[in-house]
Amino acid sequence: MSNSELILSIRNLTVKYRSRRGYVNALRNINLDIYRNEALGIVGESGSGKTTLALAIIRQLPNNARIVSGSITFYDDGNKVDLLTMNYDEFRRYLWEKIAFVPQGAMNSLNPVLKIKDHFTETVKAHNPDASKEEIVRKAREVLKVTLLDPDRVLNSYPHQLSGGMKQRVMISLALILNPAIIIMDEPTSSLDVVSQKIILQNLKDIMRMFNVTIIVITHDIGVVAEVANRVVVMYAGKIMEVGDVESIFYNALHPYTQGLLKAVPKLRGEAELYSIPGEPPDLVNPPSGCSFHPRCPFAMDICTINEPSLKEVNRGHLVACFKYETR
Amino acid sequence: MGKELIKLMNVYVSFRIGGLFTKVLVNVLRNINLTIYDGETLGLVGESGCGKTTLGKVIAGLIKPTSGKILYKGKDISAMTKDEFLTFRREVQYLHQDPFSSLNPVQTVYTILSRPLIKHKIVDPSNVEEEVMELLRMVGLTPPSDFMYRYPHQLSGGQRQRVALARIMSVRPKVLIADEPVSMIDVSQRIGILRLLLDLRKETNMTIIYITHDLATLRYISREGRVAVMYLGGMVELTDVERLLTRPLHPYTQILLSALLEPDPNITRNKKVNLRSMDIPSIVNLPPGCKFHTRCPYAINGICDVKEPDLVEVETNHYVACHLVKGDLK
Repeated sequence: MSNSELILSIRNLTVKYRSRRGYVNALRNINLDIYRNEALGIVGESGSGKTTLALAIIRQLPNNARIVSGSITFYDDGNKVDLLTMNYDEFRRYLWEKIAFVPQGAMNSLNPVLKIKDHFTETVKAHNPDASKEEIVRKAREVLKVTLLDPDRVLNSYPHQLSGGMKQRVMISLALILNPAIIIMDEPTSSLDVVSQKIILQNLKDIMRMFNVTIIVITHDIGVVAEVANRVVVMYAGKIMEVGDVESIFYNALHPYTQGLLKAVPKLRGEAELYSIPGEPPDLVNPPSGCSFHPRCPFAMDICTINEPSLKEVNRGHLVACFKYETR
Repeated sequence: MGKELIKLMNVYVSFRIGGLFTKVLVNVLRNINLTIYDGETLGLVGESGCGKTTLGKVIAGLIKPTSGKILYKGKDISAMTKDEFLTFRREVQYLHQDPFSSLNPVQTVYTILSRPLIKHKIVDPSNVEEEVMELLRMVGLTPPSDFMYRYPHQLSGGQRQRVALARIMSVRPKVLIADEPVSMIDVSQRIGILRLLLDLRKETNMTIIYITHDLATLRYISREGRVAVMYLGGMVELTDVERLLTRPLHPYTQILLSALLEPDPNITRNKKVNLRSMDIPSIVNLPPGCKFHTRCPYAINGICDVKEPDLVEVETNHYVACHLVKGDLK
């Protein structure tokens, strides 16, 4: 993506969680550039660190987490700011106005005693106390229509009067109301029906175009990534294993983990046989030496058990952390 | 196909929901007619709220139909003697979706697995331990001695689901009803559970009723099996898995297939969902006529919104409940 403009740049980000058994290495030395108006898919299994990465960006890590090192630079119309070091009160303005977050199971984060209309009013007033009610409702109708909801019905409903799919779409609308530059969505459709899931994902592309917004979708579901992402990040055991555009990842995956992940998904057509990645995900309190995937990797060499490969560009825009590609 | 094993005739299930003054009767299943053959794999597919789980529980004898009959090996289960009913319950087993709540947290794996062996006198008391080890081996928890004295909280989701499956296999069931057995399990462990189901099916020739919204996993378990598509409590299409995937006839099935995400960007992005209304009607307030007409892109006013279509065989072994398909298909 050489012709694209940077919006977020993550450098050497390392995050640990304190636990009874010791420190959990949730993120290890993450380096990632995110570009304006792209749809970035971050895929990984539970424990891969994908949600921790999102929470680090919005500074909502739980109390037992510690950012050991790293920076997250946000490019805001020519200005560069480090999200991690700025004063928290100042950061709160960035949250939702610049970077909105739709958490997993977002539909349960609506306040059950507030009408949908009041959710919009509260959100806008928190950032812009002078906004008029009429103005807020007008804008709310606009963002609800974008997510294919009927504003007349939804605005005057309480959350329990809406289905799960509708609530999820309300949350996406709420994320749009302040015109953020980035929306991060954690498993946006995992609790939804297949039909609602498809419609919401189909719709995300229109939303990106209309609102000029960058979308980061975090998911364990390869299908979701195939549907929405332009570019894909594959995470495993707190590290980025591979980054590339969606075609490179799906049709020319380089990392043995990515290859295994793609072969492990049941398909609707063609060969029904499946491959399963041997072994279990690693213990992040005591990650394996060298490459954290080596105990499960069919191609592991001696060096993989000793040294940790770093993310290197193999083809243009296609990066992989694997010694298989380093000897060339 | 094998012999008729289970037969559902005009099964209706209604629940009362709501409070003291707002109580309403909800028809969760409407007029289900279905024959399940010995040794086959049958998928029950649909969105949440379509009644697939209720239907699974009705087949297992866990929910009594409000009206209609269920025959097991030709016998009406509501007219069975106590012994016959117990045999039916033992032979038809239900594997729950959530392995985190289906195992007793204060019992060890050994206790969980030995109880049914003793209760149903499956093996001689002196052989219980050996049989427990055999069951653990059967579900891939090896070496068995590593798992026998563990508690459920010391196991991963995939391992728990294996224990739940071992408990079911201990009573030598003829029918296994598996309700979304992998939906709560980590992606990398799902394949293992699916493969285990596939192996058990091949080894024991048991009948599997697989409840899911994911046709891809159903296809993995059995490409030769049949599948019933459900929508708002009714069955809209019933045919072989491969035929359903290549030649879906009901508009709802077509939409369901185009909504399924596939792990291939070029394929999945070219599938579009086209609905008149994207939201599913409430089951409390069902529309008249065909239950799908409010969302169906092909619905014809005056027909689809008036009369509910019956499930009819439109070609050999292909049943569809749609006014449009019934008429002009040769």
